[in-house]
Amino acid sequence: MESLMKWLVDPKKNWFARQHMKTISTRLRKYGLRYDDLYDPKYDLDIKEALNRLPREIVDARHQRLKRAIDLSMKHEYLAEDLQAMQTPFRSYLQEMLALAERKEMLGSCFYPCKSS
Amino acid sequence: MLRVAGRRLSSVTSSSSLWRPNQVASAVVTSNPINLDEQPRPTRFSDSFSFASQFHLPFRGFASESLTPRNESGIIPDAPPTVAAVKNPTPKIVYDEHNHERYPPGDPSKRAFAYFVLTGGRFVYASLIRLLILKFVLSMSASKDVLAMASVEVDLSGIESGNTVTIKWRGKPVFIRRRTEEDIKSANSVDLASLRDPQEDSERVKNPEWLIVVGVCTHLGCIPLPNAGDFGGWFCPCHGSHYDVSGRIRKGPAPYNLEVPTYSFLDENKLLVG
Repeated sequence: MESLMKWLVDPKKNWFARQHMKTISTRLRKYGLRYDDLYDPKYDLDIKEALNRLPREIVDARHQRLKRAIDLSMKHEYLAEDLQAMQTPFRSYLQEMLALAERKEMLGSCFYPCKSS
Repeated sequence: MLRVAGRRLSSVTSSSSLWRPNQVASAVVTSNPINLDEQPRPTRFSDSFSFASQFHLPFRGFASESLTPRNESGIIPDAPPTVAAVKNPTPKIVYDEHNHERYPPGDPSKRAFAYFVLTGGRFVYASLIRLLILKFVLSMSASKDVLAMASVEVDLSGIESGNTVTIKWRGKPVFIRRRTEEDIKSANSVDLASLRDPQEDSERVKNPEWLIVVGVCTHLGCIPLPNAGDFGGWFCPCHGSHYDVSGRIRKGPAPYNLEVPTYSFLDENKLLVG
C-alpha cells in the first residue's frame, strides 16, 4: 500500500502524476508563482507561524511574487514568456518549516507564543 | 529606458563611488538569517534546518519590472531593480500597454471626449430616472375608469320649462334648469351692485334657456333645495343661503355664487358636462 501510494504520486514513474505536475507547473509559471506561495497564512495558523519563522528576504520575495501575480490577474495577462521560462514553480521554501510547525504542534510543545508565558 | 538606465547606472558607479551597490546589498542580504532569527532559542532548529545554503534569494523583484527592466541589472548584479530604479530617475517611463495603449508623448489629453462619453451615459441615466419617477408618481394619479366617469352626457329633451333636473357628476349633484322667460328676465334685471359676488347672468350661461350649476352650496357644501327660497332659485337648508334663478348668492352666509361646471351643448338636445 505504501509503495503503491508512492508510485501514484511520483511524477517520474507515473505518467498521470507527470501530467498533473506539468499542468500545475504551467499554471504557476503563467503567474510567476511558486507552489508554496499558495499556502494561505489565514487558512492555517501553522502556515502563519512557519512564515513568521522564515527569514525576511524569503517572505519578502514571496510577497513580491504574490503581488506580481495579483497584478497580472488584475490586468488579465500572463507573465512574459522569457520570465515564464525562468520560473521555478516547485522550488520549495516553506515545506520544511511547515512540517516542523505541524510536528511541534502535534507534540504539544509551545510552538506558538504561549499565553501563560 | 532599460538601456538608458543601465548606462546611467554604470556611468555613475564607474566614475564615482557615490553609490555602491554593496550598501544596498548588505542591507538586504544577511549571511545566515535563520540563526539571527533564532538567537534567543539557539537549539531549536540546529539539526533539522540548514536554510542558508539552499535558499536562492531572489534579488530580482519582478513586480517592478515596468519600472526597471530585468536585463539591465546584469551590469551591477547586486542592485535590486527597485533600487536601480530609484537611483536612476529617467524621463522615459515605460508603462504596461497590454490593454491600455498610451498616446504618443506630446499629444493633448482627450479629456473632453471622455466627458462627452460620460455625458451620453448620464443622459441615459437621467432618462431612466425620469421614467421611473414618472411611472411611480403617475401610477398614483387618476386611473382610466375614473377618467371615463369624468364627463356625463345628458339628454335635455325630457325637461320641461321651469323644471330642475339633478344629475350626478363627479360625485356631486349638478342642477340643470330649463328657465322660463320670466326667470331669464328676472335674472337679467338684478342690480349688480347689490350682489355679494357680482356676475352677469350672461357670464354664467351659454344658452339663456339652460342654467347648469353645481349643486353644492359655497358656504359649507350642503345641497341647496331647488325651487325654494326668497328669490325663486335655490335655498340651502343648512344655514339659509338664498340663490336666485341664475345661481347667484343673494342672502345668507355663502360667499360666492353657485359654481358653473364646464359644459358644452353637443347638439340641440344633448349636453355634455365635464
